[in-house]
Amino acid sequence: MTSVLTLGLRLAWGTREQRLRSVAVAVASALGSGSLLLVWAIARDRLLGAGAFHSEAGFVVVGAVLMVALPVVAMVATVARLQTRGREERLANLRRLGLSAARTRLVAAVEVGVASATGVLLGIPLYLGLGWLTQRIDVTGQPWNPYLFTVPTYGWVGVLLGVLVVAVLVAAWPPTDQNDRSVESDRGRTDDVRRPGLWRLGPLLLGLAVCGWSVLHTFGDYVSDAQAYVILVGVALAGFGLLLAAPVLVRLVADVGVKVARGPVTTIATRRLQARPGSVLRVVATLMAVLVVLAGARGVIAAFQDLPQYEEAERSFSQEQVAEVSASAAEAAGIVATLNETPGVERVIALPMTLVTIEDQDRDDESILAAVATCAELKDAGARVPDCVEGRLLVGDSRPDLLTAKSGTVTALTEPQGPYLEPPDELPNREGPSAGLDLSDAVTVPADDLYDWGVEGGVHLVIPPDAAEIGEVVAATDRQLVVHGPPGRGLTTTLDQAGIWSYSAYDTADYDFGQSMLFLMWALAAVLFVLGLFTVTVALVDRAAARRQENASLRALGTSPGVLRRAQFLEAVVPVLLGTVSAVLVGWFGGNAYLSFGLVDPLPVPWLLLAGSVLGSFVVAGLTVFGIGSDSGPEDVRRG
Amino acid sequence: MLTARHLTLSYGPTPALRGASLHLEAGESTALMGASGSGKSSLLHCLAGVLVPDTGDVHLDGVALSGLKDRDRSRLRLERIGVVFQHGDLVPELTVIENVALPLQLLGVKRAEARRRAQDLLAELGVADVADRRTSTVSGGQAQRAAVARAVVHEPAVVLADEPTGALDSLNAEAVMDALTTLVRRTGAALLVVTHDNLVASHLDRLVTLSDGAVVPTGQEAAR
Ligand SMILES: Nc1ncnc2c1ncn2[C@@H]1O[C@H](COP(=O)(O)OP(=O)(O)OP(=O)(O)O)[C@@H](O)[C@H]1O
Ligand SMILES: [Mg+2]
Repeated sequence: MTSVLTLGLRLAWGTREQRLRSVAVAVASALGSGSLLLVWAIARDRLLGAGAFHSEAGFVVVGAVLMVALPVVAMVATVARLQTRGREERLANLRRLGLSAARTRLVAAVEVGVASATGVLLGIPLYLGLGWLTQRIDVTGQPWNPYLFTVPTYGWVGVLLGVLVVAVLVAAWPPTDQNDRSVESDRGRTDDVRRPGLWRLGPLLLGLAVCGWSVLHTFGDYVSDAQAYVILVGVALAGFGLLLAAPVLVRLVADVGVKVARGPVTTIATRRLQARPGSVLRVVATLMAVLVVLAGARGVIAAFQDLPQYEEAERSFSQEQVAEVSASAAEAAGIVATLNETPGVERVIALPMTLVTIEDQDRDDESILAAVATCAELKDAGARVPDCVEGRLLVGDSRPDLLTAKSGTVTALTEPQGPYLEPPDELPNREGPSAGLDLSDAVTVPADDLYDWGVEGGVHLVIPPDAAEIGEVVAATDRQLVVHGPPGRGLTTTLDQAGIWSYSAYDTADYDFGQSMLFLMWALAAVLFVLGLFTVTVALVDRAAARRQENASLRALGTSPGVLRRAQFLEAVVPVLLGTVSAVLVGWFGGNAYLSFGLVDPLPVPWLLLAGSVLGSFVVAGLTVFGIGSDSGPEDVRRG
Repeated sequence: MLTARHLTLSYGPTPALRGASLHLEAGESTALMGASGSGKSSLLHCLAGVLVPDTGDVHLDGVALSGLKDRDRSRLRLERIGVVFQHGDLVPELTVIENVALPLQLLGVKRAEARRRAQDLLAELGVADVADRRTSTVSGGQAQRAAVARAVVHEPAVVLADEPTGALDSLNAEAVMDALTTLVRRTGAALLVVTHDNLVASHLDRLVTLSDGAVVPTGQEAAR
């Protein structure tokens, strides 16, 4: 037993290559555990802290962590299987020496396990450091909450053990398995060109089918929980399924390529792809995940940004804040004066609010609210009514009875009612003065113009101040004071402190949630990008080493470095291009599937991301070409 | 034809060649023997222009290899020199016939023509039946015969082989050496075979022995 352990340890720190590999395993484990913990903490803080959609928040936290878990597994697996060729040979030699399969596996597990455990432990300070830095970032709206910026105990255990277990399993299982075969057959004479099974297409097709159904199906106002979960699972299936299916697609392209290949470059490249269609993809899996997130998560965020509260909050952060204060006719002037002296208030517009009744009005109907304002005042108060005609009544087009009415009565409201969003159910007693109102000459405008503006709720009618006989009513009726402040938040708090009770249309909870999602998305993308870059770099170095012998013998044949480089470029660019472009498309499609919950416009085709993927693929493939065919000294030439 | 004069080469601090000289004539076959580590493979790599000696030079038909740029040396090797290594070193992902056709394709011969010539050669060597298998799935002897085919398919002026039979049993070794000498004799190329095996050496016209990075003078050599 101890001999197996020492052997594993010796192998982990044996040659220079082995040391490099062990360091790579440790770094991958540290990056993996550190970033999983970090994303977990960020997701908890952002989502639970925002408070909105509480029931879904846990679900999203898990989703975010899973999104990172997949690339972490890919990264750790890639790194733990580095230098497989040399390693397999060595392990096969151990088998030939008479070590049992189980003990050989144990040697391999110890070898990688020691490095991985060290890395996982290093992941803790990495997480703490990055977490500290993250909490220095100033996010609009919601400050960081150190009580939420944590990982639950089961999360710690799961992450630290999970990364270690993945590394050990990957190191111990498949290579030793192959060794058993290569020990029996001489010189590993196995057919390594097994076609990737078609079952790999299953999850992708199923996921795409669900997404397609969701995009085509028009949901009513109500999406059931079951439907929502089916769609979310479908989106996830499409994303994960793509990673599973990609080797099949690459193999397909390679098969066609072999058929049409004429020159040596295409023959070499397509044959190599045919032999190992998944090897490059495993490496770019992380980058694919980044693209799925970037292309798809926009859908989730777009769904939030489409909420009116979000838009209102967005406006108050970027343009101006609006709050409302109700005041009786008598108090109004005093309150306006106070408001104008309150720091943080830019201007105040006072609009008289009245109640209108028309003949035959159903008592159960909502009361008809009318503001008294000129077109200029309306505009000043934040309403955009392009059809406004000076001196004419404006009627929203939503109430048929109002549109057909010829005349009515306008009555003063004499008790400030609070937010006019919920007009009084009962028509108030008509103690205030009232006057007849001629409705025959009214201008019909879109109801939304009178509804969606700075004032919460909005009105059905706008009466020009110079309408006949309303002077007395206006003088007695309540005022709605529309208060404008500079962009930002906290106008209502300021007014509170000045002793004025006010209310505001925007809801920071929604906005903060949207912002949190946005931050989470960027954090995820950044973390995944780092993981992806590390995986790609390490794997490329390893590939270059693995290809050294083969390329050296091709060079001895007289193959020019140019041919080798072009073959390598082609071999790399096909799967990377295929992987990244399909990742963007699947992400985009999945995002749209999510958007179909609400009646939100579909996302535009992400051309920029697509163009970036194409460009990036060429850059990555170009990087793989470095060092090929350029032999630095006799030692390197004769290494094969 | 191919002449090496006073080659020295070291790998970092380790000297491999110390003033080795050698001359190969067209139509003549030479066995290169010597103790392990005496520098045989190093000399072969220098002759092929894969390695550039530290001092001394290699001339192929009067052209000094060390004076050429890497690209031109590759081109020259592709056109005039064929090499076989101990383990064949075929490209594992390619099929046997694709491996043999590769030098022709690299020289710009059309695919169909290259495959036809490769197929003929494989048939002559008795391995036509594995032509469409990947090299990782054929036996050592078959792979080695394919490697011989690849080295001579483009009819080079010089064929260099480094222990081409080192991993084969005597029956297979016999077959590979027969193939090699027959093909080379037909094209009139110069042949150099590195070997530890006297039986292999007996197939060849002449013997050169290397010791400590230098050629041991024999009566024959000294007479030149
Ligand atoms: N890549 C290398 N790095 C360092 N030293 C090397 C390298 N390749 C060969 N050598 C050294 O150069 C010397 C000559 O090696 P070479 O391979 O030419 O010998 P050889 O005659 O072919 O031996 P063998 O019969 O065992 O194949 C040896 O001392 C060897 O250790
Ligand atoms: Mg040798």
